[in-house]
Amino acid sequence: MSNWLSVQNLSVDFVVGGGRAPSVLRALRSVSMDIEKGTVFGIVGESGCGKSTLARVLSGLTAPTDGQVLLGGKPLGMDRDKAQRRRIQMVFQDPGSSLNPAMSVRSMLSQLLSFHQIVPRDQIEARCRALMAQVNMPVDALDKKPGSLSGGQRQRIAIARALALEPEILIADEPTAALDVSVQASVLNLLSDLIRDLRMTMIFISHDMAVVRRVCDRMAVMYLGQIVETGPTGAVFEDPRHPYTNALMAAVPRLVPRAAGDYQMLKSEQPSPLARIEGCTFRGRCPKAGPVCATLAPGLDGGAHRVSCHFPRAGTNPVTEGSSHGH
Amino acid sequence: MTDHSGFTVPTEAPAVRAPRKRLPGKARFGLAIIALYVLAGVFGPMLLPFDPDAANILQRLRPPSAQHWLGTDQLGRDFLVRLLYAIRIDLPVAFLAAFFPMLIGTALGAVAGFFGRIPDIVVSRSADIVQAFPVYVFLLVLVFALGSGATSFILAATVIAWVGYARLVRGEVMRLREMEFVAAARVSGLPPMRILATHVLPNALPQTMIYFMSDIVMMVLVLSSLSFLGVGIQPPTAEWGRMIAEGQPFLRSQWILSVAPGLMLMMFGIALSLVADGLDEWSRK
Amino acid sequence: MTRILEIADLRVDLSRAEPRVSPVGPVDLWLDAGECLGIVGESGSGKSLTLKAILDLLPDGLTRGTGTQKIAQGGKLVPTDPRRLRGAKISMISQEPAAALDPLMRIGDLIGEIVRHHSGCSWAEARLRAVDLLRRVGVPDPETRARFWPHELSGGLKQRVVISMALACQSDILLCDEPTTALDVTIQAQIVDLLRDLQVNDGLGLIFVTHDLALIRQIADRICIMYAGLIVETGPSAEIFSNPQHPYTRALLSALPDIEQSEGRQVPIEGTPPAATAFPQGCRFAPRCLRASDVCRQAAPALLATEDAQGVKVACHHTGDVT
Repeated sequence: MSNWLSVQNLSVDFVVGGGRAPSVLRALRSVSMDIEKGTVFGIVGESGCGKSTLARVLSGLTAPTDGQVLLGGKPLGMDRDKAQRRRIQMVFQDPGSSLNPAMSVRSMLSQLLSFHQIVPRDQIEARCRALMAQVNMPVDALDKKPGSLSGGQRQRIAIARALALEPEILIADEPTAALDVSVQASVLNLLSDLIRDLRMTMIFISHDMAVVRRVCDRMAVMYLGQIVETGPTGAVFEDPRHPYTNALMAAVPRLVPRAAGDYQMLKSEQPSPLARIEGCTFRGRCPKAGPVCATLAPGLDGGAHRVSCHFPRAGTNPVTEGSSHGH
Repeated sequence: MTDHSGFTVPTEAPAVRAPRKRLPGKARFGLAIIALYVLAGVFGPMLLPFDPDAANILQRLRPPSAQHWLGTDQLGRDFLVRLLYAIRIDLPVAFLAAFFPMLIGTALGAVAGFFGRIPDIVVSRSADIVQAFPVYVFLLVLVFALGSGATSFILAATVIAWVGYARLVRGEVMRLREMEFVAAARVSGLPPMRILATHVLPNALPQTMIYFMSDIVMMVLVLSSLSFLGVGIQPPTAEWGRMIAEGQPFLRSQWILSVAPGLMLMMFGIALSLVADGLDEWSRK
Repeated sequence: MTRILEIADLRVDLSRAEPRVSPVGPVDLWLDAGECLGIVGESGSGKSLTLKAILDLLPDGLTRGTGTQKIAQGGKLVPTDPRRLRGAKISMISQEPAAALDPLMRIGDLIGEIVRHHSGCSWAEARLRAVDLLRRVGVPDPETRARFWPHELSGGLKQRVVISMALACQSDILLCDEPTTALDVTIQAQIVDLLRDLQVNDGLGLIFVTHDLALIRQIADRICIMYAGLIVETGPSAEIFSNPQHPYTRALLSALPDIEQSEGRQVPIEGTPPAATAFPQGCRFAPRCLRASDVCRQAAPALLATEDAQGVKVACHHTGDVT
């Protein structure tokens, strides 16, 4: 089912600053995407692009201002019942604050297992131990509080918490950003193995492109609340169409220097997300912006590999996009 | 190559903080003193066969002797026994006078801080109203209205003192509710009240406990002050503040009658403050 | 290549430890004019402390051990007190630029103050110079921006301002302590480009500390890999990356995903870095090293040049072994 988890025209606005002149922060601007069951979908973007807000809407923490999320055809809003809540779980970025410092691991897991009645009362302890094994943690970790665990260990516990509810979808919001390099590998390997073994769907949010390339089947690139490009991971990396994607790929430091291409470094900074921008939000920094970009916002056009741009790069990808204002 | 994230090998340096934190020396010392008071209050009177309220004018104002270790007071009652009996009044009453406000104030503050909007408005404005009155005036008014004695005092204290706890807990809860583990609990499907009770409040408790310890000290002093003024615990019941007042006319001859209860009060207050201080340090480590 | 900095036997000691406990050192460093030296390591490797020790800016509880430090003055290398170098010959930028900017001063004045301190010119001239410096570091519309308050600037702009303050000191060397870690990758690319520009065109020497191996590959001419307070491998950047010799360097490279590769699993490194109070006798990486043997556990290997020279030095008993 290619549109099992479907996001349709999702917009989220926040009102910031009170007083006489409150402004509107448009965190998500009419975002649409479809995620196939059993795949790993990556979302990349820099700060302010809206990826965390998207995660919060999907996990039911934030209400959309407009648009909807559909799971298996049925709308999934903020008012979810217990069963619906179980289906989507999240691993947060900072394991230091995403675990309750006053609760032992056992208490935390037991509470969830008994609240959702996942196993009968007398099997809760056994299930806790099994969860520890699943995330490669020793059983005595159950007695510990987060304060006595290292960053990598805490993140494993956070993964165990998410798994305890047997979700169908796991959202990983920058799961390794706060960890040391040598530990990132073990947490990422764990996530990949679990996704494969448990046949879950994962939404992997990251600013680290190298990791996304390895882990994800399909991906979306976000900028200032919109998706600018989306498609199979390999295609987007090898053949970025949107000027922003291109600049992003080029800006990532590489262990092996990149061959010279039409790499253009972005010269300026992002505009404020409070700004009202007519037309394409990227045009202020875009090396290819033309007059039409100031008046008309491009839609997200194309087949499997889609771009939101009036002047996308000519692709080597045989599935060409059809932009209504193509060059 | 194998994945080295095995069972028993930690993959990186553990957190710096040690899992067990010891209560600092001053807190343990304070607790020891409080324990002594409790023991003295419970067992002391049993060991000394005097009735604290039985007046015996012929024996009034005697200095310390083999029979009366601290002498007698102005009505001939054994002084030491009265001091010990006073523990049975001051400690429990002060404790309860701090305990009920803590229960009510914590609950109200937690709800106000967590849910915001209407609950917050109701609780905060009520707190403002209570605080608008000068404390002792309010207290005296209530005590006059309710009559004097231990029960009225506890009731009056509850009406006034819940505000401190409510403000404290409200602030803590507002801070904690923004933390990611609360968001994680919501994603897990736990309902808001349960999150508040099982996740948020346990983290707010250390601060509340510290405040509670200091509050007991306050209550002891307030109770003694009111009794000194004659509107708290009524005679002939032994109570430190009352005893200080009753000993006033005899400061020249039997000064121990005022000084001893004062010292008892002071040491108890210091002991509680040490415990509060120690708890504060312990929670910061 | 003129050498502008030479440090020998640099150590950072715990202030009140008897016998001596050194979380960092001994470490030898040098820098040539217009060169970028990269120091790479994970958290706990001591890379930040090393940088801070150069200017004796260590936090409470740590002191700089004895060791010599020479800086170029009038064409010769002369021993100097590190404290006199601060804000003069050597400047520093770090991960949190906001901490270096007084929130109560407009940025033009912040830079102007430094210019005046170093050149003694008038306020008016200092302000003009400040605008020039802002232009030099790529701040758009510098005349207007000079009137901004620090909180009105984005992270990338703040970092540029801090770099311009270092330039105002007319420093020969800029120490960079993870300056781009908190920045978006496109902004990081801009800052790295700026630093490269200053290095190549203005002859600014850089010592750049980071945990990001790929980033160091981009910016550094020569690199040092640090582990548990010591340099385990050093040499020209290209050499180290094409032919890593130390087991830790190799392990680090295997642990990283590279954007060019879509296949393969990263390999985590088993074990824990040792705490400074419990450094093992012998090689500090031995407990985690797959190649460790008895000699490794007994004797600490020295940092020695490899047989095929190329400027690479490795601290390992087993270099030259084929794996």
